[in-house]
Amino acid sequence: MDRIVRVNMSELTTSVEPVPAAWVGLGGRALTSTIVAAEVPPTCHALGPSNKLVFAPGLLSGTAAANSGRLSCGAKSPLTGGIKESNAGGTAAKMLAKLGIRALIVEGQPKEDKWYSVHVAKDAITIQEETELLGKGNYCLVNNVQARYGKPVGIMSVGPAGEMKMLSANISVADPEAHIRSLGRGGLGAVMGAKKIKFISIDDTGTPPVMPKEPAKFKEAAKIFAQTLLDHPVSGQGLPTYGTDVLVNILHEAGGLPTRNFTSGQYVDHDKISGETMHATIVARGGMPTHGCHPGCQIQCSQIYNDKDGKYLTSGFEYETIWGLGADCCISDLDDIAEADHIMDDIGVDSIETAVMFGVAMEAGVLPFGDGKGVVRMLREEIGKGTSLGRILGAGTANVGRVFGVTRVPVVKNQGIPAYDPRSVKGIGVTYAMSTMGADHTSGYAIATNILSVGGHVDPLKKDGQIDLARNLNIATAAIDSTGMCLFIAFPALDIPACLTSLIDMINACFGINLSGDDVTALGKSVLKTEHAFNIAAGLTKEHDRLPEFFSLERVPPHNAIWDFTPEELDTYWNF
Amino acid sequence: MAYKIVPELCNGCGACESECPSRAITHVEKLYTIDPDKCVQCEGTYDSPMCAQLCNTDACVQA
Repeated sequence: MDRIVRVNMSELTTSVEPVPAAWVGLGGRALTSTIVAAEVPPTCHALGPSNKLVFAPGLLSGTAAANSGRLSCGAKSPLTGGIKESNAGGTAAKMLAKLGIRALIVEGQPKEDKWYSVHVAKDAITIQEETELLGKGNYCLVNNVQARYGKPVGIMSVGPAGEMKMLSANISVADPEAHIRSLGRGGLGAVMGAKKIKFISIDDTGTPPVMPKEPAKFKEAAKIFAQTLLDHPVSGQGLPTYGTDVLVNILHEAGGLPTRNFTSGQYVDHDKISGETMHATIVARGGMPTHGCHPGCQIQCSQIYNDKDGKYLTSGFEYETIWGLGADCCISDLDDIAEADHIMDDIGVDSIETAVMFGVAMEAGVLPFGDGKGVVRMLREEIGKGTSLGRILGAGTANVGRVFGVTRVPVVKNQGIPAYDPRSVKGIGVTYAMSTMGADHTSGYAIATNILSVGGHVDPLKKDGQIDLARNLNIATAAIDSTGMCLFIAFPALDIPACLTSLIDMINACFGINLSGDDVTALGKSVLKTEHAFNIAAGLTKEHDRLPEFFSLERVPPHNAIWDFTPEELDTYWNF
Repeated sequence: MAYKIVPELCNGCGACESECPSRAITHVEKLYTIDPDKCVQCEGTYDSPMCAQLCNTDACVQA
């Protein structure tokens, strides 16, 4: 029986209710954004009692559908001041779906200065006071909580950064190996910390996988869908072999790899941090170059990266993290970046926001460009321990820029710009400017068409077609984020017709409904409009749908490209 | 009787492992394998073996 679970932290009570009619048929991002828009006052303080933190598995999570185990988390973002949906792998989405929980809504705020954990199981949802794990990192926490229950329970947790309500704080999600995945962006860890919840554990014991209403039809579609993921060169070969870090050399060649705080589009030491180098290093040290972030993943772009002694150092070692500390901070030692990645996961900060922030901090002279050991020390000793400097650095890119008087601050709506220079890859620039999430490459991944020639090709250096491209990708992504699917299914979906038709067939067979492709597009549009309306009501006007001024003042080599969209051109994005 | 996983067909996605009621499925390097001594073909729990229901590459078959 599908249900909505509420955890009221003001009263320290839990309740279960049927899914309201207006929310039936929604999952993932569609559901978190709908609930946040319906129940959170847009002008509330994101860290106050009126904000709500909503977790939702996708429509197909918990079924046999490949790559359907992504978890959505929504709230008003303390970083952007607008609505936020962040998305992660791990085991939590599947477990929530198996328990029939379409959404878990955390509301209110404790009156006393005490910390709590929430445990979700088949027969009961309980709130307990937590003392032992306060101040502990996420790795320690996951091991400790799974030992308490004697089984691999699902976990969503905050590290010290979330406890300190830092704006770069994320929410960690345990993966099948008890390692860390992240609901990374927008400071959702600060929202969870403001609710005084250290962790939420999920026990799905006694619940079978989600069974479709039409099993035979579902099975047939699921096999076709999985095969399309394996057949596409990006999802079937490039990502499993080299991980997302395969993009370092590609973006360097394209001149779109932001370097030295966005002053160049190429990095001289790109090869030292590339996916090819990472793959060779992982294999030589006995790690795992190919690994899934959640059960049922056919793509397996994650990896396990060992240190020089062959001991586990980090996993889910992503392109955007490696780009940020590598090219953007000019740190060419992959081991330093891997150690920093481990610490960021452990203390619970977004590795994109933090890496972009360090680029600005380096320009400000807080530490020199290329100082990998300095980054590791500041993560551990300043941010992790919450010193005064650490609190400033943990407050994100925009705030560090303000504090140190830097004008080259790559953010939109206060959220750090990731991994692709908007001047030389203009489609992603439109996504950064217009996304309801603030600067977010995943909300409309124009790199696919601008750089990888997936779904056709639009010249990255020209303005022609970029707004239509970004709009269409943002609409499609909002729909994909609602299914529980990994965004990387978009590569085959853009090139292999059977991918999208089999995905829709799976949804229809699962629920016994009859959606068309147009219905799915309409869902994506509706999600974006709901989010946009919340943002406007929260005070984020069209003047916030812009890139920082420096992109229009400074040309970026090697193409000497500049950001040249007018405000009027950008505003046509919302014409749908 | 038990089920087995055909290595050539297994893509290592792990969908089967956590849903096996007998905990008969384990990870070996990149792929998965079924312990025939533990596998009861889901008798008493499900109508048919869950690993085969969940597998999208038809790798779980009668041994």
